Amino acid sequence: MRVHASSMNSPRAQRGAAALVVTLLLFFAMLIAAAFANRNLLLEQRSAANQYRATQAFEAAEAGLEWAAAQLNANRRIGADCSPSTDPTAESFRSRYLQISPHTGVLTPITVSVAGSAIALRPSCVRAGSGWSCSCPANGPSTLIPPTGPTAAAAFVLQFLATDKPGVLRVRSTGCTHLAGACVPGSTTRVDASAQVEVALGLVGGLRTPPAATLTARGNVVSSGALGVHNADPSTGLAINAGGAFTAPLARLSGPAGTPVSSLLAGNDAALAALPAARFFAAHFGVDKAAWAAQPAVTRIRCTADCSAALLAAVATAADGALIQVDGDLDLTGPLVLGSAQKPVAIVVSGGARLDGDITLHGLLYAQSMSWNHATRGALVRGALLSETSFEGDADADLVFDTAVLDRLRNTTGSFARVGGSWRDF
Amino acid sequence: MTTISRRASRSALQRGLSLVELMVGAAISLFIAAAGAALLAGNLRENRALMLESRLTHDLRTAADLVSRDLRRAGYWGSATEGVWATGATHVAANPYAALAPAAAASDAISFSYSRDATENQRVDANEQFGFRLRRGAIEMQLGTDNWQALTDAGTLKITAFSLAPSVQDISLESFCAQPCAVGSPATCPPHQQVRSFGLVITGQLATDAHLSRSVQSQVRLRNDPVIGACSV
Repeated sequence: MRVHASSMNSPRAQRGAAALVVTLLLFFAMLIAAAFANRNLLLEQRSAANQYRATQAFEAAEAGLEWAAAQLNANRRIGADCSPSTDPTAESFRSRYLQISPHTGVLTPITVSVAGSAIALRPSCVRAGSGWSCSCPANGPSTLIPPTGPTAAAAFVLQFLATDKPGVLRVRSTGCTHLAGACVPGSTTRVDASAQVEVALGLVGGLRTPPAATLTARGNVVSSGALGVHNADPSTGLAINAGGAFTAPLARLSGPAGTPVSSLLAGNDAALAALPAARFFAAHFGVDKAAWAAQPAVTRIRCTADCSAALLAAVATAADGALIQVDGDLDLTGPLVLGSAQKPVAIVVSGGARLDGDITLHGLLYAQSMSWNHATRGALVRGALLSETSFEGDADADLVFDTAVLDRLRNTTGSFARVGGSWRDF
Repeated sequence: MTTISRRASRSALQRGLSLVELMVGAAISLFIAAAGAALLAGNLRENRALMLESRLTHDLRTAADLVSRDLRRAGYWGSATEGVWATGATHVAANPYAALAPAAAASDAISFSYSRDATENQRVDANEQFGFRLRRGAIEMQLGTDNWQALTDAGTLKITAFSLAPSVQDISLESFCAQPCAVGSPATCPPHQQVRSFGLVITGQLATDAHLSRSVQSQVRLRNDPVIGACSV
């Protein structure tokens, strides 16, 4: 009986299974037909995705160029993640990646030796969340970790290349759809898309043409103290160049060996007196006042009373030589030390500069008018002073023309700007 | 007992169809087949229209991409660093690849050049002259002096409009001049930097069906800004 029952049931069960299989096969065939019919749509989808990735890589590379210019122009200390650092021993982006010859202005990208071979330092960034996270290595390869997650994170890596022109460097930026492949030197992982763009950046110096004299004033120079004015540089050789009269009976003047004192002075210089103030500025700085102050590397300060603290703070914030624009008058009270031979300071005052006491300045001071009182022999300016009108006071300070300091201001400070005609993506 | 019962059930299964059953089955299957055929025909027709449309879009987008990628390289100069002033220099070299037409009005043709020299030779060679134009319903790209090659297939796609509208923003560089320009001095003083971009519009229709028309638009910013003029000396 049991055999009978089972033999009655089994064909029925098998008929049901066959129907299921046939239905599934039919569905599968329909699916294939539908996919085949819509293959254009799939192709379109794929080509749109390819274009999206190519654009993403290209835009990441372009972002790299803009980021490089912004970082090079930001005169501030940075940490290993490229964000501003308060560590006083940290250096700026510019001095971390470029070696600038202060005399010739030739820019050389810095390389480090890792395991016996020289590698170029290459900062890189990867898109993480709503911003970029970056790595600015100082002594080896980048330490970026690719973010994990479903969103494709675009990345770029920079490379600095030297040119034979002083003050000009080339920046090559490689962008990728994620942090691998061409964006990680030495990586063998493939990325969906990568792009490379390159541009030349030229340095517009904080000072274009250094003055020919230690003290240049378009008006009178009146000193009742034992002001020491020195210029040992034979190529310039002037101590004081004044558009007006020079009245300083107690002044101590010195020049290159064997130069008579009379040849150190160029008073009542009609050409200088006739020069408009705006041109006087542009002749030395290469740009007008507004454009100079608008540079990203320039710090602007405004003081109502004594400016010593604000000026010191501005000098301390700058990682390299500081460029400072003072809106209004500048009152400084010594003792005060501004700048050093390695990190000179260029100060442009839109009003008058009134110095009082023992002040040591390495660099350049430009003001509408200038006075210096109550300074002893210890007070010192290494660099140059420029006054749009007069210079007066009873200071016993020493003013020393320093070519090295002025060259450093000319060749290492200032802003990088894009060189027209240098962009390429091939 | 078992064999008898099996034989009986088999004969019951093999009884055959009645005429009514056959007619009903045939009618239903004809209905299904007719509906299926109509659906298939509609699907094929839609599919073909979709394919033509996407091919049109695709061709236009590819053409726009090629034009904008090539156009943004305009004015690249291998020795651009020679255009940078250095201490003591009286003048700087001019970019030999700066020529670009049209300068102001929108046009259906453009001519530009960029350097492809491995070592810059300071002149525009035959293989460095590029351009795009609209001829006989196809966009053509200039490769070499008189060699024009079609970017789009006139057999399937007819370009009805190809327009490149320049927009130029002048940035005065007067603040970088040591000496101001004299009153009434020519337009080249003070020097100015030109920030150029082109509005690109390509409209095309199917060669077989003039009703299906598509248009792509793009804004191309030329990366290499020329500097026109010089300071007075």
